[in-house]
Amino acid sequence: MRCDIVAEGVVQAAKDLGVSIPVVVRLEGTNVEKGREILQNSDLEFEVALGMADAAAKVCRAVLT
Amino acid sequence: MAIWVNAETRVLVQGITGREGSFHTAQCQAYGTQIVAGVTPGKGGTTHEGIPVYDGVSQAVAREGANASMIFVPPPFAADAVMEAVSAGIELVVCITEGIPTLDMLKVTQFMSGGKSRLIGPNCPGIISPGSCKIGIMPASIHLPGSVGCISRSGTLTYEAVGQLTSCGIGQSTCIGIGGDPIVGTGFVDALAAFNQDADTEAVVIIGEIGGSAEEEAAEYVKQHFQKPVVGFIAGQTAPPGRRMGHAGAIISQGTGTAAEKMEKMTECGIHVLSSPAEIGAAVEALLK
Repeated sequence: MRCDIVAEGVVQAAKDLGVSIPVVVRLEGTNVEKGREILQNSDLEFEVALGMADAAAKVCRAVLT
Repeated sequence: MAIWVNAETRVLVQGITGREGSFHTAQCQAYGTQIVAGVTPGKGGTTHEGIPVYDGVSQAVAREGANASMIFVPPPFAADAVMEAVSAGIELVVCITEGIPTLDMLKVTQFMSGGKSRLIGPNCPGIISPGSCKIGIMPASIHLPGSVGCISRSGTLTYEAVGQLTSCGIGQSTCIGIGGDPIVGTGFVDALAAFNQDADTEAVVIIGEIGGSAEEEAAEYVKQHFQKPVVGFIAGQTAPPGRRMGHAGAIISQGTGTAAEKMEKMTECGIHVLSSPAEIGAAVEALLK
């Protein structure tokens, strides 16, 4: 699944659902720059994670605070 | 050296004119794969981005000498596309399509039995020998030519493993996505047997998931025959029984196919099993020292 398609999906879902919980996103792969751009240009507030371990740690921190 | 695909492989694309087919054909070509023809019934005689398009696989084989096929045909027709490629003498068929009915795959397995063709997939990202040939949808830029083989039921977890290996400076000989369906053309054992013989492969990463017994069979093969270190990861350690976790083949059914069983069996057979996918690169690095 290309990163731009994932990013569009995340942004659209967040809009449709009205997300009020923390969102952690880690994107790597095909069209990653396009994907990052889509996320940056959206209204969605999210935290960027660098790797899987980092993403998991950020989610845990967000849940615990 | 790598296994199964190299710089000489001549690839045709079934479904080349569709959205996915055309995007990924361009990506593979940019990587250096020899894409020699496309097949879209009804569009024979045209060209697609300079590539000759044929109505059928056998014409493409006769005119362009294709010996491998990458299939981007929708699920209702994909099994037929595989069998058409096999009938035309294609040696390596890589079927990307997700959603082929299991019954269709039974027919394909029967059809191919005893023949000379190899099927990779379906529902897989394909196969890449970094630096020489990519047949599939994996992101080329994270790969590095080298000596670690990867065999995986999960596309994105393969990319995760590859990304980690590359960032440690450890390259890959060949990476094969065997796919997420319950019935696939190439299994872990097939790939392990080929890696066993490949002088350029020094270690292998196996990425499995819940469902079926492929990892247990792979573990037995490793114990009995495999000469090189193996690192393993099983996805689905917290999967609830009975729920299909994305992939058609990823389901704990009737109590069997759990991650725990697989991890235990693999460990017994000498595979270095990890409980976190974030550790794959470091584990391989430690083994190769």
